[in-house]
Amino acid sequence: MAVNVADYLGPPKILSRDDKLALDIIRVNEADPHLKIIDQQVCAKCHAKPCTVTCPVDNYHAEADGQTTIYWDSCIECGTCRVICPYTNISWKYPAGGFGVSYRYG
Amino acid sequence: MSEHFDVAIVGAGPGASMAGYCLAQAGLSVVMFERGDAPGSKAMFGGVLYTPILEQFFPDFVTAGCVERHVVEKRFCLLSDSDEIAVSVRFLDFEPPYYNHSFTGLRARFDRWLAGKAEEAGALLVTATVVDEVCREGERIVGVRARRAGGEVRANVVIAADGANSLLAKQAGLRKELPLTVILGVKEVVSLPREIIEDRFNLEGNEGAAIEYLGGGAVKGLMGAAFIYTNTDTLSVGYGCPLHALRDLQEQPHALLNHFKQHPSVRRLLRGTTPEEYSAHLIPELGPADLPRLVTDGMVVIGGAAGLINANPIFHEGTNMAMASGILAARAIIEAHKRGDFSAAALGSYENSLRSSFAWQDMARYQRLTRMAETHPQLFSKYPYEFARMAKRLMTVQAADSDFQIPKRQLELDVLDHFLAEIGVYSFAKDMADVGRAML
Repeated sequence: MAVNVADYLGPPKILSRDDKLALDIIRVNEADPHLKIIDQQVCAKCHAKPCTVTCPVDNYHAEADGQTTIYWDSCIECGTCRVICPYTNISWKYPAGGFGVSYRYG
Repeated sequence: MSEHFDVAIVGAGPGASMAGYCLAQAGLSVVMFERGDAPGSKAMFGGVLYTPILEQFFPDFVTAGCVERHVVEKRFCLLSDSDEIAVSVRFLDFEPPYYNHSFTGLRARFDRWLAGKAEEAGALLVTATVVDEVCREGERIVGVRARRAGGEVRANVVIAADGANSLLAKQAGLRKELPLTVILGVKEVVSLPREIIEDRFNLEGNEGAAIEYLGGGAVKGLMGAAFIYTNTDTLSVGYGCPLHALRDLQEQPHALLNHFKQHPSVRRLLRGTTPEEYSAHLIPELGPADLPRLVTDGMVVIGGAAGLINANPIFHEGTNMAMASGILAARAIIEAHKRGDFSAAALGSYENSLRSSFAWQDMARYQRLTRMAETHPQLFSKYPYEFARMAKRLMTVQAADSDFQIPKRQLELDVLDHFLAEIGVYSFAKDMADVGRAML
């Protein structure tokens, strides 16, 4: 079937964080959160909170009391948070085998 | 299981698979651990594969479906907020089947295919298995511990091929945490019928284009670059910037990708595309002080785990360097196997051969350029923007009150004034001298 150029002229789709994540296959291991804040008191004293602006899926949120919430179930395992944390305050491991993100293109 | 292998490879990326292939071919028993469901399912790159090694080992790779399009155009673009200056290099006379040894690719396909070659040669591939630790006897590394019941596997040599994060090399004490110079690569794969891709990018048949973008319109003037690569019926659209730059930008990385996609020049190329996948990965751009030790008793480090990367505005290489390091590590291990000595000294020939190879030389050379760029942010934040403005001024056809059109002489003087005011002869000459010195 011939491809019709007119069908491919619409503006590119600009996706929100949630819509981007919805494209990906992520198998969540509910029994085993693979990312954890080691000490929330350390987060409470951290003003810069670089984890909240560098995670490519925006999984780090600062709460009103200064503590950090990790949405670890939508992690795509890049390692940015572990490297960016100025206090080495994130316990970071890979999800167990067969869990986590599974790229079809990569 | 407490099995024994000659070699245990942690990872099943391009470096791991080349090592596994060479070792199995030589008759050594090899196990490869992949933490995803299949090789490549956790991997991501831009990307373009540089393939002289593949030609040598698997001459039929072009028709095996493991690569996408052969690159006939490299285009370098400076983007200001709304404008673009582009330099296009088109090379159409390289011969099939290998063309310029440059093919766009997708890791889920490529890594799976290459790991299959290692398996065919006799390597045992274990998927969906994370390896967290090395096993030691005294100082010597004698195997790995997989995260499963009885997951201890003994091996004469362990190859850490677990990529940019290389928790294994870190756990084994061969490297520290990654520095903030590491690059975060962020990408969307979007689909578009192949006919539309060929028409839109001025390509014929399986030809492909690799387009790099610098400047404010691409990555908000950060050190780093954005890209579009044409695959067979998808486009890879993304960017890479160092973590320190993204931290200072104070904007969500996924939003920065949207910013790039909406630039007038980029938006036009992406019309009618359907997003298929969003991915992100670290690219191990390390400083000389951050490079890992490559060899210890019973273990070697290869590929991204060893920081082998050549990431800069002109070249984006890494998978080829990983494959080279895998082959060189395998050769050293085969020699060590013959002598029955797996000490750091016996495995040291890997380090020596790697250091004299293109992979190490390119990495070290462009590392200097990257260090220089870090102290010259104007190369990314200012020059692309100002040069685009100057080009626009020169090309702007403008009616004049006193004449029909502004004479070109006036435009040239305007551009010169702009250059002197915004950049300056002295600082430009100094910056270019610094770039030149870094390249010597």
